[in-house]
Amino acid sequence: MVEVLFYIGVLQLTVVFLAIAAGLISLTLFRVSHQNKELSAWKSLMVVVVLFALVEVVGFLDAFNIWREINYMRHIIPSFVLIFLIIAIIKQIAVTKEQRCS
Amino acid sequence: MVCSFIPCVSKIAPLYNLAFSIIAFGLLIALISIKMKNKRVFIKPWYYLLSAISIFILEELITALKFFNIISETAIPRWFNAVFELIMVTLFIYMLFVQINHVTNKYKTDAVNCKAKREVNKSKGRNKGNK
Repeated sequence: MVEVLFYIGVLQLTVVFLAIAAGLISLTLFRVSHQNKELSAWKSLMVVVVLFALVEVVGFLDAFNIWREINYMRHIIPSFVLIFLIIAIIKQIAVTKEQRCS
Repeated sequence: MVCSFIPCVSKIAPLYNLAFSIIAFGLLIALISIKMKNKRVFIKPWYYLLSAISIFILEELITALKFFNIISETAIPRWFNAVFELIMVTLFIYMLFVQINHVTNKYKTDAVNCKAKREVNKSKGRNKGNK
């Protein structure tokens, strides 16, 4: 049992660090996506990645019993993640159609 | 069974998250089918996003099945979720690197093209001046 908990802990830590790294990497696209109209979908996608990192941090705080009161956020934040994701995909479809016509 | 708004929403959230993720999956399929008709458009990172969404749907499906007590916690232990999340994060990072690489290459070629055009225009101007 202890071993299983150890592996879950290691996995959670890895996921949190990688999610924060992904959030930071996505922010590097911020300036470029503002300048280029083709990358407008990436603005929403950046929000998706940052919110995903937030979900992982909340999950980590819950799993390690640091802040259990925000446990409910683990299922609510993904809804916003998915809403922004749908917006990003719709924007990308519009951009792709525009490029196809031009 | 009195419960406040947010905990209730959080309990039912996996179900509507599943609905949202299926909508997102459908839209991604639509995006890829548009790409099939036009090869010029670069949507390679979106394929990785599609894989991540597929894993997310699987994760949400398991959560929903646990919510309805169709499968027990022992059948699919909690570390499965952590593994799914790890795969998703890895796909996100790879997707971002692919996009950053594409943007960098595109700007480099655009800058080289601009420089070449400027030089051609300059030489044309000089030729006109000489004539």
